Amino acid sequence: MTDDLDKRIRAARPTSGNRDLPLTDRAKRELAELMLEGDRRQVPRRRRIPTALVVAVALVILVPFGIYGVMALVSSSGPSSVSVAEVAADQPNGDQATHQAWASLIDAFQEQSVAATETATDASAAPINVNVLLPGSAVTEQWSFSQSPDGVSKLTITAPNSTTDGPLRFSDPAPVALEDYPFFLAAEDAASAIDSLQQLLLEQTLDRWQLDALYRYLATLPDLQLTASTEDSLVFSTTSAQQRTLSIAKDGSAVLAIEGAASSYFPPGTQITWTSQVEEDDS
Amino acid sequence: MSDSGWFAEFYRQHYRLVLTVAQQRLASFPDSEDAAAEVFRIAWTHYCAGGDLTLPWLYQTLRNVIGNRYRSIRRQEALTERLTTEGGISPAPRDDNDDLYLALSELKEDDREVLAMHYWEDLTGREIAGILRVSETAVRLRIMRAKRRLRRQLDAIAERNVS
Repeated sequence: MTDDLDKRIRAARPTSGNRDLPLTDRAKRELAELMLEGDRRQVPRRRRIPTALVVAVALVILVPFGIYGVMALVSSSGPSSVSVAEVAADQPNGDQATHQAWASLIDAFQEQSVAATETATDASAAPINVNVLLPGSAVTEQWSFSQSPDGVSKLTITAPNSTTDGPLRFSDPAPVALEDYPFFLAAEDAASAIDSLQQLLLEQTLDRWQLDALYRYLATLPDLQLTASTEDSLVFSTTSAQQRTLSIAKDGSAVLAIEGAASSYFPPGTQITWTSQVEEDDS
Repeated sequence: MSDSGWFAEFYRQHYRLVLTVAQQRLASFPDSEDAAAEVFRIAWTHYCAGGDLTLPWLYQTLRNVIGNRYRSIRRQEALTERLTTEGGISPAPRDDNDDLYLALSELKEDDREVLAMHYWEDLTGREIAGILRVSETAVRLRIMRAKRRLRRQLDAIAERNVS
């Protein structure tokens, strides 16, 4: 049933074409160019990535995550709760506590992933599901990591008995300042701050308030300097031995690129979702 | 159908959708065409390397491409000026102060996204479900909840406007 709000939203549709329109001239030309390129390259015979390879790559990630990561977590003396944000939000600084826990998770996992890279020898296509009881937490969360054949990695963290609705983000409610993130508080220099930023961007898109906070934070880093200005972006580089570059849209609307950052513990593009086990209507 | 032929068909089937979404998220039509071209160059490379092409894959790639470009060109302050500013920085007001856009901007990203997919991006419920990797029922619930939160936000903005 269409109501007034439906109509209002549809009326506010940004100016654009629609999917039923024919190809533009430019689109036709670019398709032809791709095909031509394919002919020159004699269209590489399509081949599937061997399942064993996919599995091996997944295992490199899954094994440490499922076993070592949990062991490290359980044995760590980290913050008291990493339960979903809306649970933590009932308590003072709950959001911050969540972030602290997340940070300790990252620390634990990063250390272990290297060792696992060397020891992973077996292969299994099934996603790893792990029940995680974090120190001081009353609830057991289910962590599931999977990698689909199209290469999309996905981590789903499910918290049981949540009374919240829909997917939960660890940034809900969003912090008002980037300094609230322990990642950044712990950063000793611009390089580690940029590494942390990369982790953060893997997890979520920064809204305009968070971007403001990020810029304020960057301004406090003595070993970060503006090294280039292109038509679209400003490029900042670290002055330390650990080279990092950070490219930000000139209008401040987005972090465009990070180069040189330490490799992530999840494959790039991993979709990380926090969900409640039982979805309930919030009406 | 040959490999090239299959890709060409996939391209024809999805190009305008990708362009439509890009248009709604980027500042100009040429920017949007650039983004669409980049998406399909990546898709072609992926396909030639043996990867499968699906709409969810394409949409995720588009997200990544857009994420590396302007999401919007609304704020004109140069970053250098911002970095040297003492004290707090107030976000620049958006050009379009329409209440609906403001209310949307105050929603969570998940809510904004599912509303945009449903109302603006010509995606079917099944397609949205595929992209979000949830059931169609879950999509309907998410849309319903997002709408409810949008309505609340609009009410709050109306109250603010009155006061």
